[in-house]
Amino acid sequence: MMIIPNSTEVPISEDEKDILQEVMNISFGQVAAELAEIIDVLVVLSVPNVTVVPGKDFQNYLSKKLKLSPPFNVIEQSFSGKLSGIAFLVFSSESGKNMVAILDEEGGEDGIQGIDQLEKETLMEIGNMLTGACVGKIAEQLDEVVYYTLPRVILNSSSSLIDLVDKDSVVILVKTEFQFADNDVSGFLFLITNQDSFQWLKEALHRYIEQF
Amino acid sequence: MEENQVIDTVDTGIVIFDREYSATYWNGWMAAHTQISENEILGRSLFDFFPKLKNPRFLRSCKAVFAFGNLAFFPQDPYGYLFSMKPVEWFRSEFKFMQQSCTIGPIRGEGKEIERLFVSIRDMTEEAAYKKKLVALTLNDELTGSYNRRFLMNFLEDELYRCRRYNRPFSVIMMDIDHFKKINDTCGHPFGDEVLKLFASTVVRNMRKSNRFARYGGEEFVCVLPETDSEGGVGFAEKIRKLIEELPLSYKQSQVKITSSFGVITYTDDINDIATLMKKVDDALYKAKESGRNRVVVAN
Repeated sequence: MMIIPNSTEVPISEDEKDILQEVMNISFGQVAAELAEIIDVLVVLSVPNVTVVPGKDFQNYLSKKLKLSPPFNVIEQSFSGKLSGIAFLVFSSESGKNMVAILDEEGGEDGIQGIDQLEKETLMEIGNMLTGACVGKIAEQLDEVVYYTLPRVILNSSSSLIDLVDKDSVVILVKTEFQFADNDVSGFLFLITNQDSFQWLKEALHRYIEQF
Repeated sequence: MEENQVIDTVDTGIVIFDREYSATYWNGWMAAHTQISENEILGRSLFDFFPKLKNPRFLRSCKAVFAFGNLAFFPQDPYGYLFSMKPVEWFRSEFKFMQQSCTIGPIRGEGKEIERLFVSIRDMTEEAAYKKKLVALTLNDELTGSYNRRFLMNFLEDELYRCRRYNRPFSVIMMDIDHFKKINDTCGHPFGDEVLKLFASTVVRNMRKSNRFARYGGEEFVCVLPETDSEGGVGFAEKIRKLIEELPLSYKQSQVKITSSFGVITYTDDINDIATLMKKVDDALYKAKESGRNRVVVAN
């Protein structure tokens, strides 16, 4: 089955999608610069690609379009407020180990901690930072404040993400590639919102564009 | 103000600090548990009082919250604690420092700019102790007190990964008490259990601190020796073999002699997974049994 992201089933107009894309571009531009300063390595964030898909088409979209299949590392974090939902960061299984190498050269060889533990810590930190940065910046652009729960790290998840997505929800798919220094650490960010929140987002996007 | 009273007495630590990491608020809970009063710490750097706080992860997290206005989390698992202080029940706690779950968040000024950060600190010492107990229950063999198979397999995965990444040696010894069934049959199971315990304690007493010893099944045990080459592995197996042979055991006034067999393997880069490693060391142990028992055989 072919998925057309702009099919009539998706409750967002072309204009709204353009504004969302713009908000994301601005947010991610700031995030990249600030992240580089914080982790002290060069961070390249590609221009985010924004797609909105209905929850029921999500799985198909993942496997057919993104060719993303398990196992991967997943960092799951809920956020609430007017903009509420769940953010999923999905990295390949190797990405986690590459991140450990970037952040924790000094801690990685002490031999006390298990490598899984270290990987988990690093993924939790980086995941929390990326989600917080992206969701936070979007909220900031739209003049809102968001609250976050503790991120949950699932290593080498082989289960399908579809189980986590309600069929009636709307998935805002933000695909971006992160590159840390010379190490390939790339991942996808998915933001999943419920209908109420999606409605608020659409209104906020209109308010946003009116100020210019 | 009512809310100030609450914040001051609530059973959560609240600290506020500025971009220079100087404390601007220190609640009653913090003062009570650190023995550092508000007067002492206000206006001074947190790092003057908590030097260990000045670590890359904490600094990165604070910078991120200043930049993005998100929340940064330091849950007890895996971080332990942020602010070193004695546990409330220090006289009987197994933790030297209070275990904490901490959250760092932004505080915005009039212009919505983030000017300060807060940290909330929750005491998780009791929960952490329970969790530790539960984890121990799932990782240890009840009879011998050594690790169980589940722990062993996880440890081997980590060790294999470490060795591949840092190109370091490690050895694995699989060992088995010879004719154990006969011991059980002639002397009874309680005696057999004592033999298992004695065998385990003999290995544990003689191994290095970094080694891990686990009951693999029945009378089969595995010892993992990080940073140990083949020579070291064989040497240790030989030492244990001799010690077991010389154990002064007796059943109903008559002397009982036990012996044991060993398979030894040292990691080489053609070993891609744990299954291969275990198969090879198991084969070596089998050869030791086949060729007469009470000996050490190196896997090829």
